[in-house]
Amino acid sequence: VIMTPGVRKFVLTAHVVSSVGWLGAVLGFLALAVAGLRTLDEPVARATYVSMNLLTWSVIVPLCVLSLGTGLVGSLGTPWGLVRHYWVIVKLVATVVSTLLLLVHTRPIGWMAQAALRAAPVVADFAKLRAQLVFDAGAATIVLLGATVLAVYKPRGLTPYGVRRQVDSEGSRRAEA
Amino acid sequence: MASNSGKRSHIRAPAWVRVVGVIAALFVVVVVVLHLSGHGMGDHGSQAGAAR
Repeated sequence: VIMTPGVRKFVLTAHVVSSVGWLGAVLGFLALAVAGLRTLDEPVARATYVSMNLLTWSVIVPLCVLSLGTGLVGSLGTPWGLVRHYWVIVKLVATVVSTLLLLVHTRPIGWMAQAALRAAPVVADFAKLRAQLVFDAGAATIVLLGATVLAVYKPRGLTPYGVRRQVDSEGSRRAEA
Repeated sequence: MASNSGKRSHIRAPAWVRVVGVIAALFVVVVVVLHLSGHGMGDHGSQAGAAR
């Protein structure tokens, strides 16, 4: 099913806004994670991890789901397709893996926020996890930057399926002529 | 023969895909090494594990 130009532009706008917004929110998360790792002040650390939990559930997860959904609809509803071009496949894999890892990491973020709300000593008790959140947010930033670069540059390269589809459509065009 | 080899090279994954694949594989290796050595990559299965 190929979308009409109006629908295609709407889906593309939603996809660009959600994807770039997701990257921006992850950068905000990274800034908070670094602040939480560097501080020795318990009230500051608690405020940081409560904010990170709020940012995760109110911004990052919705934008992540929206980005994945609009990306799937946009690729299936246009001649780009889902598995015709290598750049679309690489971007899809990066987005799906990032989404799964994000959902896995919402649990430890929630634990830290709960501990912070109970006024538990998060600086001393979660030393390893605080460092891991910085690593995760840094890795997510690199992956999302890579996905953005792929979406803008759209490097050449048809998959075997894409080549077959192209040959088929050229053949039918010639037959019509 | 010539047209066959030309077709095969057209279908083969481009160089940039192989580069991305190598980077992704190295990333997975780094994560696994960090996990096995106990440096970061904490236990996500339990709150106690996360706090360790």
